[in-house]
This record gives sequence, C-alpha cells and structure tokens, in this order.
Amino acid sequence: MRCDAALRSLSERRDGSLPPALQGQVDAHLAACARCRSAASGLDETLDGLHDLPHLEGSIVSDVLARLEVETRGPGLRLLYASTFRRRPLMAPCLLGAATLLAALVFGLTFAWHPALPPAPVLAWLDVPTVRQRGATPLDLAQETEGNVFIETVIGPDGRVARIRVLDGNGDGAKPLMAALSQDRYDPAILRGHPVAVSVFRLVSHVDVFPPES
Amino acid sequence: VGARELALGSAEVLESGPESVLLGACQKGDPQAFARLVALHERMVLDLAFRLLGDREEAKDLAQDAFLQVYKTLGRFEGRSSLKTWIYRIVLNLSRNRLRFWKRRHRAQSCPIDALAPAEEAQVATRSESPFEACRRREVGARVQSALLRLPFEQRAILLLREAEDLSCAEIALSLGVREGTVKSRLARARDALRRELTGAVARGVAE
Repeated sequence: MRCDAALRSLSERRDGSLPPALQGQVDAHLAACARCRSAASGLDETLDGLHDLPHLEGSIVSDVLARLEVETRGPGLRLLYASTFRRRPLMAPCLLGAATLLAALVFGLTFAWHPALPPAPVLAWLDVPTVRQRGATPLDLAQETEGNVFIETVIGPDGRVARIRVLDGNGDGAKPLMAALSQDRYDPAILRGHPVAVSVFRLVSHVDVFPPES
Repeated sequence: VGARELALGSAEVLESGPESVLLGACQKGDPQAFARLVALHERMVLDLAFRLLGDREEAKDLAQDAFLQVYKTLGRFEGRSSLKTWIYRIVLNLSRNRLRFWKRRHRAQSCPIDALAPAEEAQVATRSESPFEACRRREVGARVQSALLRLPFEQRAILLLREAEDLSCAEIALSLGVREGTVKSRLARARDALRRELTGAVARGVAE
C-alpha cells in the first residue's frame, strides 16, 4: 500500500468503518512506515483534544422562558388591559351590552325608522280659483284674438286679476283678449282656510267659425 | 406561572417521561414541558454554539434563539429524526447565518482563548485528576478550540458533531441536510485540515 492511500484511509480507520481486508493493509503499512504512523497518532491526538474543549457554564432555561413569554404575549395592549378586566369583571359585559345597544340604535335609525313625510305640496290643499263673473263672453274672445296664446294670470286673494301677461303667442293681437280677461272676477284660492294669490296658466286657441251660407 | 418558577420547578420533572410525551406536551403549548425540554438540551446547545462561534455571549444568545425557534416550529417536527438531531440542525443553521452576518460586517469571528472565564478553570479543577493533568487538558482544549475556529464553518461543524458530540455519520447527515457519503468525505478532509492546522500552529510556535 502506498503512503497517500494509507493517509486517505486514516479517517475511516478511526471510525472503524474500513473493510477488514483494507484495515489489515493499512495496519501493516503503519507498522512499516514511521511517517504515516506519526501522522496517524497525530490525528488521534488531535481528535482526542476535541473532547477537552472548554464548556460554557450556566443555565439559560429561565432566560429562554422569559423571552418566550415576551414574544408570545404580542403587543403591549394585552399587558395593559388584562389586569383592568381582571380587576373589574363587570366591565366586559357592560361594554358588550353598550356595544349591542349602540348597534341596535344605529341599525334602527338606518333601516327601521322612517321619519314623517314632509308636508304635502301646497297645491294639494289648494282650492283652485273659480270664475265668479266673466268680463268677456266666449264669442267676444273668439273675435278679439287670433291663433294660440299662452297666458299667465295672477289672481289675488280678493278674486281680482292682479296681473295678466302673454307667455307665448301674438302678444299685440291678444291685447283686447287680455283686457277682457282682466275684468274677470274669481272666487279666490283657499289655502288652510285663508284666501291666497295664485298664478293660473291657460292656452287660448282661436278658431274661425263661419255660418253656413244661405 | 413565572419563568423563574418554571425554571426552578423543571429540575424535579426532568427524570420522568419519555421524549414523545414531552414533545406532545410542548406541542400543546405547555410551558413547563418546554422548560423541561430546554433543561434537557441546553448543555449540548450551549457547547455547540460556543465552539462554533468562539464567543461566550453570542453563544448564549444564539442558544436562546435556537430554543425559541424550536418552540415556534415544534408543530412541524415530524419525528423523522431524533429531537436532538433536529435541534442540532437548528443550531447549525443559526450559527451559519450569524457568521455570515459577522462576515458582512467584517467582525472577527474568534475570541482569544485567554478570555476563558474562571468558570471553565473551576470546572477543570474539580475533576478527579492531578493539577498538572488538568492544566494540560485545559491547554490542549484551548489550542484545539483555537485551531478549530480557523477552519471553514462546515468543517468545524462536522468535526464537532462527530468528535465532540459523538453523532453518527447518519445523524450528521440529517443535521446538515447532506448525504451520508458526503459526510464521510467531508469528515476526512476536516480531520486532516485540523491536524494540519495544529501541526502548523506548533511549527509556528517553535519558530517563534
């Protein structure tokens, strides 16, 4: 056996894992070769020295448990509030009850409670004005105007026409008609028992009607 | 129950209960069982960390980190290896990461052996051997530790697991996450490297 092969086998020889035949060859070589024998004994001495390595004294059990306690406790909130809840056992049920009540209140306000409807539109209670006395006959109206005229009439609380104006149509041609309409007298509109002023909008159409020729 | 009380009370229950019972209790979050587990394994963890890092305070800190990691990951322990092997693996990974961290910050990785605390001296002196023998053993241990710290991390780890912790090659393979054949070849190289390192140290000492 060569020296390099013997030196390569020293590690397995120490572990006792060499095949018997090879073990015999290595032992025979070490018995014959002083250099390899010295290397083998040096290796054994060196590795035996690993059993004499210094030890680290002291116990870390309490340190580990202290760190574990800190790390598993999590944020400081639990530490802060745990003792309060323990000292005042009724606090948690009270808070829970208050939270339930608040939730019910919010739910009720949001979904269950419908506020009273706003006052109905004014016109719902309004008795519309009716003509009490006409200032012009329908025939007069037909003769006085021409085409379509859209008119706004403001009727005062006293039933008189306070204002009349043409919103659309031939305003000049409608002047006689407006003069006649302004003479109308109305029973005023009544809101909550009181006469009020209102605006009335109407469309007046003129149609020529000719008597049949005799 | 406070940590101190747990630590004190753990000693009386160390003897009782097999490892599986202890593990079951730890996995259920029983702090007393975990205190027992730490007490059972703290010596090997502290020694391995100290020998890997060469720094007393860092080793204690790393040992605490290792046990915290054991606690957090105990639920994932499937029992395919022994608990001891699994804890070794955690210590090795943490040590490797810490040395990388030091390297990035250009921090010296070894501590002077003269800085050994009186605790070690006291421990050696209490053995039933002559003062001369105790002194020689201490000197040899310090020299080997110094040489060990000059080896690459993987070689240092494999030597410590095999020689100082008496793990088999199969257990080392599980701890390092490599194949058994790889362990054997690395072990041979590591042994040779340590022998050369020590021979070189002696030669340097003679030259000086």
